[in-house]
Amino acid sequence: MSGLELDSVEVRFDGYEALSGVSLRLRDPFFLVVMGPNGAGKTTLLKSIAGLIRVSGGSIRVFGLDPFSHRSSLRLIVGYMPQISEINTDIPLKVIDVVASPLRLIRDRRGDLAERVYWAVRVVELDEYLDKPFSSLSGGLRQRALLARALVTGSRLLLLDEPLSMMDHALRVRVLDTLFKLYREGGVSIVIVSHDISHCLRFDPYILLLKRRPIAFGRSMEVLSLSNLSKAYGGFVSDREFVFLGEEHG
Amino acid sequence: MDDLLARGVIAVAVSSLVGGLVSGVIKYTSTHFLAAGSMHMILSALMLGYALSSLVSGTPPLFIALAIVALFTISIALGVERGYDQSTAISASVFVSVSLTALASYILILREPFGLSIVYSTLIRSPFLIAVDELLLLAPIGIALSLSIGFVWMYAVYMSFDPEYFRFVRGSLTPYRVAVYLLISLSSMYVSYILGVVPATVVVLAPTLIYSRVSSVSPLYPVLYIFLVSMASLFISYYLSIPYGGVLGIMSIAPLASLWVRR
Repeated sequence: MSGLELDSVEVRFDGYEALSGVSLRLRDPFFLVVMGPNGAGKTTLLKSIAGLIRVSGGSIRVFGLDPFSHRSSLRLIVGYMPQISEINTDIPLKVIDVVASPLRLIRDRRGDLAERVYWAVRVVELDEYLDKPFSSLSGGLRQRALLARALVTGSRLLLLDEPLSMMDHALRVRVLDTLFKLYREGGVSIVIVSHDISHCLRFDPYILLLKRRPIAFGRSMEVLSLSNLSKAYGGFVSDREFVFLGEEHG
Repeated sequence: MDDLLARGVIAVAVSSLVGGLVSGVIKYTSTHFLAAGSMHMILSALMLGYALSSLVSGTPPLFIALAIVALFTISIALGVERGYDQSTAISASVFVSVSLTALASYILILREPFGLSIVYSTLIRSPFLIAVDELLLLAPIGIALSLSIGFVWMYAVYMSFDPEYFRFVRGSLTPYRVAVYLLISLSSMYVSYILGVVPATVVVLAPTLIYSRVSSVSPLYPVLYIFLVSMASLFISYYLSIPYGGVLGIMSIAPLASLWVRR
């Protein structure tokens, strides 16, 4: 079954071209990592797939549906994790309230709400923080809570924007193992926008290398060539390790 | 219980319940400026309501005022949706409403024998003097407003916590933003109509400081605070014959000052 289809996707903001000519087709389930330098359009692409941005040209199909006009149908099967910087931590919500929020907001009555929340927090190893205020958590723990929120609806597709950036190395490995298990055994498709893709490489995911236009798309070993990386990041790229560590280091 | 005191108790109970609840929505949606601006708009709307009813006899001032407040509020929400920041959108409406207040006040003072008294009682009204039949109408409206605030509570909290995720899950922010703004304005209008614009500002805005000190999204303590302060002020005002608005102002400051010192 076709999971994600992008056909010549173009996004413009007030005449500024944020994305152009992005095309790909992936069968469900898939594991896709979107990478590129700052301002490459990674988050814009993810938001377009989530139906939060209307594309200026081309088309997007998620499970055969246009995500912008069918957001209400897709919200039950798509989990979304935005960047942590967009959260207002002045609101004194507890972790449990944050994780349960999609179930409450869409009045999802499928199964036991509490059981689903506990499952999601266990996946990200956050069960002991369930009654703690979200604002009191460290950056990495907050990311885990937002990841649990994306998981709690039992999504068929997860759209994750920098989901691991504040986690330590060991936790990144464990969370990615869990995500990969969801993909392999649970049939959940995953799109990760990330600067640091080194932890994903052992799963040989599809990689879309962006710089407002697609530089390359394919399996990691095909995409991560020196010439592609030079085109995306510019300047001298002498060692793949630089890029694997993240663009700030590159 | 004395009839005057009984009327005062009912008026203060419903107004403090609405004020305490709506101040939570104000706190969580960071619309303090809207709430403060609402008071200017309400003043203008009530003045215009009275002025129009003096020009066209039989026109109910309260309903005109409600329509004008709704119009102002929707114009602010639309301004925000069109990309203006919240402060600019509110400032524009406050500027227009203040100009209209001045105009309507002059019309009232010049045309009505008790025009000055109407202007004054719009600013500060006595809860003891609200007619019984008016209270019979105001009490259920207050309960309806409180229930409406309870209904939008969860949406207001989640909308402010992560607006983009809220848009992802609920499809759009606009109808919720309009509903929240309308509820803030109508609740402020309601409290202002009972207590006058000046004491209403205390009842609607003072509990927001309590909300910022509690570590959950429950309205219990802020509502309890403004309810107790309002009732204590009412009894002091009644037994010591001191104007209610003044007592309320002083009474509400004391607990807040202690919080500030502890901070």
